[in-house]
Amino acid sequence: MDVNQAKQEHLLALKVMRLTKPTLFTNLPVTCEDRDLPGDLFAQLMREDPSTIKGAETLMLGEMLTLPQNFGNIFLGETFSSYISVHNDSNQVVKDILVKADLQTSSQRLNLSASNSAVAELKPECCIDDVIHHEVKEIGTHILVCAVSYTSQFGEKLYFRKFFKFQVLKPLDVKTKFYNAETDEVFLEAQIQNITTSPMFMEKVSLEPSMMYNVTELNSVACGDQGESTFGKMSYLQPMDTRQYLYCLKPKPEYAEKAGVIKGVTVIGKLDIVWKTNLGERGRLQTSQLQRMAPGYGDIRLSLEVIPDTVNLEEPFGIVCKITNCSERTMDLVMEMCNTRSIHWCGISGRQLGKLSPAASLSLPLTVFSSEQGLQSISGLRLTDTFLKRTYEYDDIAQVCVVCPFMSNEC
Amino acid sequence: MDKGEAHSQRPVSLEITVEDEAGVSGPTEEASSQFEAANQILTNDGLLAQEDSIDLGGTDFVTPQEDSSATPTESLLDRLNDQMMESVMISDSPNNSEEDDVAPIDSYLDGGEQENATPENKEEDSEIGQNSTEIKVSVDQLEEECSEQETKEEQGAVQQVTAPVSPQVDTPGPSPNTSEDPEPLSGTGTGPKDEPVPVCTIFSQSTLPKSLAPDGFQPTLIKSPSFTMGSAGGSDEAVTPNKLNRPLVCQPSPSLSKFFADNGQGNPASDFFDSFTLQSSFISVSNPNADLSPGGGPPPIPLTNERHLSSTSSSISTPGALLDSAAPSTSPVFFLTSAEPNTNSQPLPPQTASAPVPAPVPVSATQPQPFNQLQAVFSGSDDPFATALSLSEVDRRHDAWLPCEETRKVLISVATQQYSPAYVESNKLTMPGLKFDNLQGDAVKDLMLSFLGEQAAMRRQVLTANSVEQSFIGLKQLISTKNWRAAVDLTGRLLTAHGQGYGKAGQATSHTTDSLQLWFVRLSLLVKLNLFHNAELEFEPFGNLDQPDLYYEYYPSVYPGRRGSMVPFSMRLLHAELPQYLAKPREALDRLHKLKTVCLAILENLEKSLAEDGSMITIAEENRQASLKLWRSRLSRVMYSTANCLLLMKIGDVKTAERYFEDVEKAYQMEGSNVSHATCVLMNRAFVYLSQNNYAEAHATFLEVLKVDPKNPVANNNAAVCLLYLGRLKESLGQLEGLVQQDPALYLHESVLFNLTTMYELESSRSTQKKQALLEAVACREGDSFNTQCLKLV
Repeated sequence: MDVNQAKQEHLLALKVMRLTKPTLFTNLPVTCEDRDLPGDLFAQLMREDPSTIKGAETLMLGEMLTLPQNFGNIFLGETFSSYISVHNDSNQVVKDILVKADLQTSSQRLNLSASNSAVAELKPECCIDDVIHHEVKEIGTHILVCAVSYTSQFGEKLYFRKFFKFQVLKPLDVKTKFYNAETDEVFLEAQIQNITTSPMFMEKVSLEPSMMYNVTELNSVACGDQGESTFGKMSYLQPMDTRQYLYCLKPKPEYAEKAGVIKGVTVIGKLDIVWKTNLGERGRLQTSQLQRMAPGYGDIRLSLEVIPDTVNLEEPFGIVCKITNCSERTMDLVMEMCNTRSIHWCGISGRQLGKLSPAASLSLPLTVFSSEQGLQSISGLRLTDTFLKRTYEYDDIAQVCVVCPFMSNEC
Repeated sequence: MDKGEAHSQRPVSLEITVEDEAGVSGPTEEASSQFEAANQILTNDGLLAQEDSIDLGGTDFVTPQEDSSATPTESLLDRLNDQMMESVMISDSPNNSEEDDVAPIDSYLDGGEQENATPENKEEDSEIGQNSTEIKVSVDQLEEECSEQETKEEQGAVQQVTAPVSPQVDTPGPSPNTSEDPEPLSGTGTGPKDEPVPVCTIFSQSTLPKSLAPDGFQPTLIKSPSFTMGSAGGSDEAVTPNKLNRPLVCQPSPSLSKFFADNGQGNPASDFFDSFTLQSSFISVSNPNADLSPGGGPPPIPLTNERHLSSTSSSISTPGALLDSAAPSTSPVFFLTSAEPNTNSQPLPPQTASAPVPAPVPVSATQPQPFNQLQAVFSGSDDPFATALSLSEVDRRHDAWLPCEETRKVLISVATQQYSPAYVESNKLTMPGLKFDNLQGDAVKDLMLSFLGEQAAMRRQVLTANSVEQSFIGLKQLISTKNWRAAVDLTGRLLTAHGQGYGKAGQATSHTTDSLQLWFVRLSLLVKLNLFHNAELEFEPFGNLDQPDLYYEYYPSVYPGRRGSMVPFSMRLLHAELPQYLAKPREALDRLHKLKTVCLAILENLEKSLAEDGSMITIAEENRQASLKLWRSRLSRVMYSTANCLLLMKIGDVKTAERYFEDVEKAYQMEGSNVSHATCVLMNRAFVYLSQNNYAEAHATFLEVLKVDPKNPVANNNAAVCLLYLGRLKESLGQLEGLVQQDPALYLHESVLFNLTTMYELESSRSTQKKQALLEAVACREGDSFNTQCLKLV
């Protein structure tokens, strides 16, 4: 009050209203049957109500649009729209009106006004209207600064501003997880959670891979001609609900050849998410580049190319190992094979594998048998680089299931 | 209101606050009154700018007054910006590590990374770990492009999400009988509709061949062979042994008599009840209004005299009353269909089996009989068979319900007179009572008092509970004039007269058709008035509407032979729907599904040529069809409610809702439901544009609708809304104002007024006067059920 009294009265009034999408008016259908006491009255009242849908009065949702009833929430990726109206409350003509609307975010200040030219004059009871739009790209506090300058009838220059502060919230929570397959494929699991208070229609969730990868979406189940989404027919995400999306990324052949070279942090791609809320209010976000720490293979990578899943007890079986030099230097390798309690290697331990230049690899067939049943872990390979006298140990390379080939009574 | 105070009052979480640096507001008085409004607007109504208030993040921002007006100094600007920057920074420090040029956003997911650190370490080989991902806005490549362009392009790909449900179902409601056809009882497609007198229509309808089974449920054959015999005998005077029972039959409900004995005098309602119960003596079985097409054509009474049959219907004073009132004496109307010669020879329904003597009925097979005449005959004949008659098809059809096992047992034991109802445990009884007795008042008048002064308020004339007849007639009058609050008051009085008044909950009482109808009206009005909590409170004693004393079988003496539920189906529906308005949509869904189950079970019974409740009664094909139709329409009503409930659970399930609507359409088996009208197509198109943010096209499309249908209120309103989004406030305002002035009947609607007042607020600081003008308009036309919130005056 004190403030107001101290202020000088302005000839113009500035009004700002956020324009969220209009909502559909809902009514409360209460019906009765003809035999009931009110008879036809309820039905008649509902028919007369302009907001009901003719022929479907008992449907709550009408077609009548109503203006936004409150400011609501605004989320990152949505578009902030606002109506700015400057109204001449006085009874005199006001001249040279300039309305400026700026949006101050935590990092920048944007001019949102459609035009920056002054309006020559504004008669009493007239107004200057402007609708501004801005796609919100930052979270946190935003301040809409509206400045109005004008000249009164008597040539007095007047100026005032208003500030409208609002918070931009985060709509989605995205968590990702990478799984590295033996075959250089990478699986990306993305959990997308709706952390707003209203349901969302997920229009699009896609992974845009980086140049090194090709992507396959694993979010639909092939069924007839068309794949059906794993989420069923409904693309709605209720508040606080989470969805898991799965993608399979394969390195492109040109990069795959140098697979051994893919080291450290690599850029996988980014998720592109488009959603809709009330009456098609649209929001879109992209994640930052998803980065994957390539599995650390050390200097030498030992992977398995061939291995049976099930073997017979005490029966030799073959495996093929692939040895890749991931280091920057040439290596001269000697391989030793140490038996464990259950795994017994066949062949000569301590044989020379020869020189292996950087990024080169060799395949090595080996024979092994297990003396115990059950799931056995293949361990005990040792590679020694004779140049540097460094030994690399490879345990738990893979598992095989060892079964007894005989009938139980024979055992 | 000084600044500090304003600030302290404001919750920190307030979304929007307004900072006014240089005073802008109007006269101080107005400003002060507006400040209150502004507070509300800021918090509730979302208008940003109604008032200048100050909140810049709690920093001491002392300057505004000094800076007022004319020339802002540079230093001020600087200072302001400093302030703002400080207050704006908040906690999210920009994370500049991103490689791209977008203004970065702090990574708010860091927490996740740490959480997941442990599992990562364990499985280093296979899993590089769960990373939290930064979200940033998609601007990487598009950054350079003009943002408008970008939006446009993206919109191109936008799919329409929310298509309005188009009203393709042609029938207005689930009830096939709500047609506005002035001829009350004409079935669809049967009977010459040009007959001026409804009675005749009915009659001629009844003489039609049976193959033209009318689709309404009125045409009902009397199926008792004895009846047919009786009519053959044509003896009006036939005296039956049952006649002895009649006094018993006619007994009004005990509670009523008690009431009248106790304090009948002063209460205006007592008169009403008196007449009402007396009339209902032979008829108490029937529902008021049963099978009447309310508001229908001319009353059939004149014809009554034609036959000079004695008639208790004379107790209804006016012809209008006959139709409008709930006077039960009109109910035998539904026997009109019995005029059809009864060729079928089904066994007697069990309830009529006790009447061994042929009916005296003049329902002679071939002789045309206006049904009210029949009624007169029945009532006049003093014959107990009248009672038996009222157990007719229609009653059974409508009242059928499947009680739960426990209730069923009680009812059976009552029926077999194993014990009298008096011994039923009280916790199995329904003992309702009013939960509040304060008068509802008239919000419009209150507003007028505070804004327009006493004189203006005095001019407002609405019907109140006192100004109408203390009866169903008055009640209907109040409802139809939209004075629902007064109607609630009146139901309260009538229920008090019935011994179920304020504070009577938990006390033993008995129920009649009428008392339950009163409850139904009261509760549905409470729901209509958004008084959900009150409705819930008063619904509570009714439990799940499945107590034994809510079935006719429980009152063998009052309703001899009558079976089924006293609770109207609509009341069950209301009961099921109620929780959704109280933020318990799942409970509502549960209840709705129970209703659906019962409906389906009954339909199944009917399909198997059983009676609704599964008993082995043979029903004439016509009756079966009529029953099927009724229960299908009930089922579809339940489906509608379910769809509404899902909608209320916030779009969430629109697809399911759509599926339900398809079900409804199937249940209706409407012909040509796929043929969309031009309006409908255009409307849908407009909504598609709307969802694409294309307000210009949407507006154009709404205008096209208006070319086809200039009076379409929805299109008019929506076109105005679009104009606003196009930045054409004045035009929009002009259009809406024009509409309200030209056709207040159509446009003095909550939604339109809400839009209008919102625009007033946006337009000028003097919105209050304009709103008051609206209030005056409302005061002349609307009843006390008007929702004053849409005027945003308080």
